[in-house]
Amino acid sequence: MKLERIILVASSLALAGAGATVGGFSGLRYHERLRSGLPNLGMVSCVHCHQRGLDTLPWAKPRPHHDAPDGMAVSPDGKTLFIALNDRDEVAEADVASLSVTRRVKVPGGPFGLALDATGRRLFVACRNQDRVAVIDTRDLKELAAISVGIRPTDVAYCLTPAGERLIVPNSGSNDISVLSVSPLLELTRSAGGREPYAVAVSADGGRVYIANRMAIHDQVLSQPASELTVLDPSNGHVLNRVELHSAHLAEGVAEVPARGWVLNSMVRVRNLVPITQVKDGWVMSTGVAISKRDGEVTQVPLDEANAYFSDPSGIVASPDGKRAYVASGGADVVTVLDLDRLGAWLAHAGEAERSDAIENMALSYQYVSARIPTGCNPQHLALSPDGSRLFVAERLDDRVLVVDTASLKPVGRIVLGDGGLADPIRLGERVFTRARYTFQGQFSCRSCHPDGHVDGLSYDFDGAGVGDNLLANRSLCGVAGTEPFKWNGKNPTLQYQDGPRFARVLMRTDEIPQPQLDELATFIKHLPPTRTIPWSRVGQPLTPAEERGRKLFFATQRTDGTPIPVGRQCQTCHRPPLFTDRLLTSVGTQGAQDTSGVFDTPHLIGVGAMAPYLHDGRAKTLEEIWTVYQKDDLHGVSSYWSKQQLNDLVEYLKTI
Amino acid sequence: MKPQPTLSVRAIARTILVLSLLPAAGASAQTAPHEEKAAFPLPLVTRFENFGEKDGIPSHKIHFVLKTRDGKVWLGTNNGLCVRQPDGKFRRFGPEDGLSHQVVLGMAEDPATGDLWVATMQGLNRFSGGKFTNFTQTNSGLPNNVVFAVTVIDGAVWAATPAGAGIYRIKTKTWTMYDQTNADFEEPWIYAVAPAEKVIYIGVWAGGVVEFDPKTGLFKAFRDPDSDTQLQVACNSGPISDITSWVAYDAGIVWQSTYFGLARYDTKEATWQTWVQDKTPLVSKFVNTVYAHGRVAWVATDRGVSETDGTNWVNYTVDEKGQGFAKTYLNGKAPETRTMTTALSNGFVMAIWADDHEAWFATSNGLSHGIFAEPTPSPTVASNP
Amino acid sequence: MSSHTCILLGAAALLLAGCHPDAPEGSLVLTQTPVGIPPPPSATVLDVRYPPGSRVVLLVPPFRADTVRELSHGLVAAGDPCVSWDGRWVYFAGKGTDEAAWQIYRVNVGGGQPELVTRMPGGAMDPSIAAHGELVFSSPVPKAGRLSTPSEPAALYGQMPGHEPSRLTFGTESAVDSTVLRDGRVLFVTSGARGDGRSPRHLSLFTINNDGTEVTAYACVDGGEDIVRRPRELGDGRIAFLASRSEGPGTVGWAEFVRSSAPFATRSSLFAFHGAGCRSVEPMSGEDVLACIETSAGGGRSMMRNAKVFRVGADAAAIGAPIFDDPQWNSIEATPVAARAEPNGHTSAVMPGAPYGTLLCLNVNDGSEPAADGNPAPAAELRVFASVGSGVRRTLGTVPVDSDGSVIVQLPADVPLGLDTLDAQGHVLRHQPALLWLRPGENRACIGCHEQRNHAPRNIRPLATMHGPAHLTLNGPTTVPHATTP
Repeated sequence: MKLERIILVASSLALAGAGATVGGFSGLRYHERLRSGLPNLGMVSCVHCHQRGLDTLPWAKPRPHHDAPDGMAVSPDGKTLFIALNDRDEVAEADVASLSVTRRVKVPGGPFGLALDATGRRLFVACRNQDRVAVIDTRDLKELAAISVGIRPTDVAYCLTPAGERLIVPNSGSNDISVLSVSPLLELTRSAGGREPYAVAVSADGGRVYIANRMAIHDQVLSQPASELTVLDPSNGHVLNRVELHSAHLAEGVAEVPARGWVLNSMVRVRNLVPITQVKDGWVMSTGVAISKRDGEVTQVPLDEANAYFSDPSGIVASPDGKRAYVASGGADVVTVLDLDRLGAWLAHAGEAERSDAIENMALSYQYVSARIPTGCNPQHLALSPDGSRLFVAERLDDRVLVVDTASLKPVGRIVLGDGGLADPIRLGERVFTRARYTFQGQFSCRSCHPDGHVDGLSYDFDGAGVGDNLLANRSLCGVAGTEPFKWNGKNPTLQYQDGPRFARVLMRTDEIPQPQLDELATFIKHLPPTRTIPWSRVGQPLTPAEERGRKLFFATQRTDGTPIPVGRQCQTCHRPPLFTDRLLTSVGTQGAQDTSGVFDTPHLIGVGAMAPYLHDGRAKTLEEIWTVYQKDDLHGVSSYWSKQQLNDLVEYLKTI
Repeated sequence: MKPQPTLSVRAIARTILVLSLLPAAGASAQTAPHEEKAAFPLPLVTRFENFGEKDGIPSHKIHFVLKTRDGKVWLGTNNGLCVRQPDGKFRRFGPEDGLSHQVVLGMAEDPATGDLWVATMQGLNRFSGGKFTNFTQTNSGLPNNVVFAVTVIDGAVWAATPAGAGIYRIKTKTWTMYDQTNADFEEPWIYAVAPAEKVIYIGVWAGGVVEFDPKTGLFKAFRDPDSDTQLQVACNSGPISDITSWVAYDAGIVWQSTYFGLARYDTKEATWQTWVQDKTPLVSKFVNTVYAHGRVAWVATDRGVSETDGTNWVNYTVDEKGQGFAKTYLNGKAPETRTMTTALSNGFVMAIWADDHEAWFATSNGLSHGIFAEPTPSPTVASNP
Repeated sequence: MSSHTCILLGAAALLLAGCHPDAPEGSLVLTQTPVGIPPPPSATVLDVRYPPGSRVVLLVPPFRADTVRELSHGLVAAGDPCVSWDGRWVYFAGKGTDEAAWQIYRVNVGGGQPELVTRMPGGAMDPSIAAHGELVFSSPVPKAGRLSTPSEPAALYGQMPGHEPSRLTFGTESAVDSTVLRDGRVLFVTSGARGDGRSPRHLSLFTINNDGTEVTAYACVDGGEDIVRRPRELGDGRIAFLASRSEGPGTVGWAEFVRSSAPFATRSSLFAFHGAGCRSVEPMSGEDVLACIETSAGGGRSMMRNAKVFRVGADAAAIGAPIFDDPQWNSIEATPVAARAEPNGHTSAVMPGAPYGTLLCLNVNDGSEPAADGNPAPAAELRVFASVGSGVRRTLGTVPVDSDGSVIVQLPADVPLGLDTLDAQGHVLRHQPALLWLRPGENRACIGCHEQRNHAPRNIRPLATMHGPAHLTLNGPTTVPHATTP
């Protein structure tokens, strides 16, 4: 009897437990279906929808800061070097002779670009993080004035025009160029640039300024992209010319060679339209210099060699006598010295076909490269003393400035700003990110396709099982922490997996990155904050009426006429805040003819305003086109009831995320 | 004894008129007595230079003309954007150069940047540094691809489209739309936008003239008081018609063109004047566009050009044989018609641009350059059609 | 722990250290071949190169004949030493008996018995070491005088430690004299002749990845002397090699180089002085090289000649004095014994078992040479043939070329393939002999037909990517899709 009772109780408990489990499971499945609108999600974790707050993510937490040098400016007498320390909100002043830092001053907003006036009395500072330009008195390093400019200014140039003093400021985040008067400090015009105006140089006669635009744009995903060299009249900000640099991107540096009538752009020549079946022979990309002449002729010549690459060229300066140019390659830790006499001779005798073909000729550069100067980690910005005798190389991830004697091309020493940050795993990860050594012959680094961790605006055809069937848009790494899985097909559960053996096989064409470095890389990427797409002045401010209307549309659960919108077709279901992704795979009707599947990982939307182009293969040039051109049967959210006004409002809201 | 000949009043008037048609002079003040120059209050076209396809203009049909601050003359034609370069030659830009569509309906210059904004049948374009950037209804917030007109006002580009007014703020790169759902428009069909000092006037097809205050965001519509497109029951009391084809503003005066006449609104006095064909000096009720320079309006119609300050008029017409005429209406006086040695290239005038020295006329058969003063040697000698 | 245990442990440590001690700094390893000994009958190329009695020795400073330490003891002949990247092991070719096939052995620089590493039926030669300790070698060992005209060509193999060898090359010509570049590719010597039957046999330098993918001409294809041997990557990025006008015993060669920055445009003599009789060149740290050059024995007073070891500076105007000479021996193939940076590895894209690879040509009309007979017509078709042995060629089929000249086709893997481009009338425009192969699952692309060397492709989307590939097999075509016109 007792045994029977025990059996009965045990059986009951077991049944009850089973029932609870089944019931609980069923309940969970019901909950998933109800909230997602999808019938068969499979096993998903609660955190897919119930995401942790943004403030728990690595990029939202305090992190160490370093003395990484960015832009530099040399005093007219060549004795003093000013160095922007973006990460410290400081500008350092160094004595060139003693190679020592003499003063440092706080300049809020992330100093990034520097310029001095002709007397050296005023230092102009482009502060990237707070969209402002500050004027500093070099005698006491006090801030005299400041002005708001466009989003994320990255450089500043001073020039004296017949109409007065001018400052030219490329605004990389708003794709425009501020032209300021100095006294008073006013914005005279905001001229349209290319995509991400990045660096500026003034012509020797002060009559023109040249702006390098970092990113290439294209008419449609399968057309050849081009970045732009914008030529402005500094007196009034009128655009005189927009020179197209075909298939050139990451054009981060510009310099004039007045003696030759040249403007030089450092650039990466990208081959994104060609299936990536190999890396050698510049198949994915190579580096070069674009030479633009006043008559409009542009010739791109390689910086790389047939079997060696000097990736991520950025800073470029030309000697005053026009005989040399120096180009910093951040991925190769090298400064290349170009003999401009030899380059000019080559240009003079090369026919049109040869010049057109030059950038593809990987064996050409030995004819005009006279030296490669090894540097510390990740050289980006360069500066030259006015007499050309000293070259200053910002070794960004070593926290030092290398000083080179240009006569001997040998280092004379370094200005030490910090300790290099080798105790900081984020810093170590950034070194992995910027170094090209992990790819075949050092052809490219992670940064080559993800400048500042972001997108490059291009689509690439990765090597898969077939050829030509894997065209995918580049995705931003900014703000990706917590948004796994990765890759458009969602197959990579972690960043280490994303950048591990498969990546080594299909893209890097070397051994996979060693595990410690892979972990450091993942740490760095997780600490990349989302890209800011609104002006600094609007951060934390309420939405505008249009943005608010757009926000309501994003979170709408019913149409204007009151008809409910199916849960699975509401924007907020798949793009669930705070990450604006449910981290699940879904189909939005965008499968292309060459795609093997139409199901894609839901991308996060933080910073989406700066992530053009859109959709998995980059076919949508703008946010609008997602719904005006590529929407099908309301599969990408129910939009058929929207008016044009509503679509405009939604786009305004999306740009604030 | 023979009677001495005397000058009749008519002869005197004729003399005055002839003398007043002599080229106004800076240096040659002797050519017209001061009192005769001052007698006619409107600039007078003394001769026309005409240009057509044989001169390199890509189409005989020209929808719009604009002279930019650098002295170039831009044409919106049926076959591309065209510019008259300093050497007098015409250069065409078409879709192959990046223009969104070959039918160009309007242009505007951004005084801040020098960029040219170009309205076409398939989108809005920014032409800057030799490059076109296209804005369409699919790739941007532009309300509709058909852009009738474009105006740049304080860093905002106003596009007049059949689906409303689209405003693109250059610095913030944001779009705003006004149509019948959020503005005092009868219909979304917008034909023109004209800035005043503090407000903006919008010409709305079937909606009259709407005044917009950017500071308050409020609209105020001026409608035809008799709501009749054919009859003028209540003259001088509001827009001549709600079917507005164009609107212009300068010196405190709003001009409204319609297919049923012309209206003038004095913003200070808050008074309206209206004109129709036949009963008034207006050369034709079918007004395509109106261009305001100072207190003078240049009125482009299907039968020639009227030029007026609201009181005085000059009408320029051309007959089927190509003979040009200038008919003047001085205040209170009988109209006088004279033949001209040159004429408009065509009487169907689509648009006009004018300043103190010259006027340019976009017609359905070529471009006419109206010269006010003694002509300086022209780089290209044009011929009349 | 008892004192006995400590003593035992200490002895064991000493023993172990003694078994594998590092070589003294500055040591060299080299081959010594006896002077004046003829090769045996029915010799292989190695028998000619390393007559009986040839040995691999360690030379420690100071370099004297009496400080030579034999590493290949127990073998009747040995040669061609190759030092591992950690500087602790020497791999070389050796034969255990006169009748045995040559195989690859390895021995610790500290001494000990050579271990047999390969057991290839036809023998193995030319060892080199890739990343992760992978041994690369050629097999079989060709008969003497047949290096370039083999009936059974020597192929390259890769063998990971503890694993079986896997074949890397599949061409119709022998692939020999491999070395591993810093970028991880295997550089080797093979015939790069155009195969028109009229040109003399011409050896060139080619590369492959360590899985046999991406076979590509590296240098010396066009022009220059016909015979090249023993390429080696120097510290400054130059590739040094031996050149001669002919092969075989008694051939006099000299050292040349190409720059890796422009390998097809920079072929030059390595030494400023007359370097005829050069038997080997190996890189040293810095910019010096170790060269083994035949000169007169006894300082020029004798008619006898033997090879000596020289250290040659980067800009040396004269050969200088040898750093080692033993008149009894030819001292060749001297190599520093030192740890060096390991070459990069390569994560293989090969899919074992996949029967085919895919070839994409961006524009078959893009060539560095004019078409046959100057025919200006564009290519309408691509014809693919395979070499199926003994010089027999089998046509696999033809595929249409897209209007932009692009073509994409799946082809059998691990088979030597050749290509013809044909005009609309079927005339051959350009011919590529069967030098190409695809590894299983390999996706391979090229720019054009006889494309310009060291050129990157134009950034244009080829039309061929808009449709699936044609599929040709050894038995004939299975699918041939329509070409695409924009």
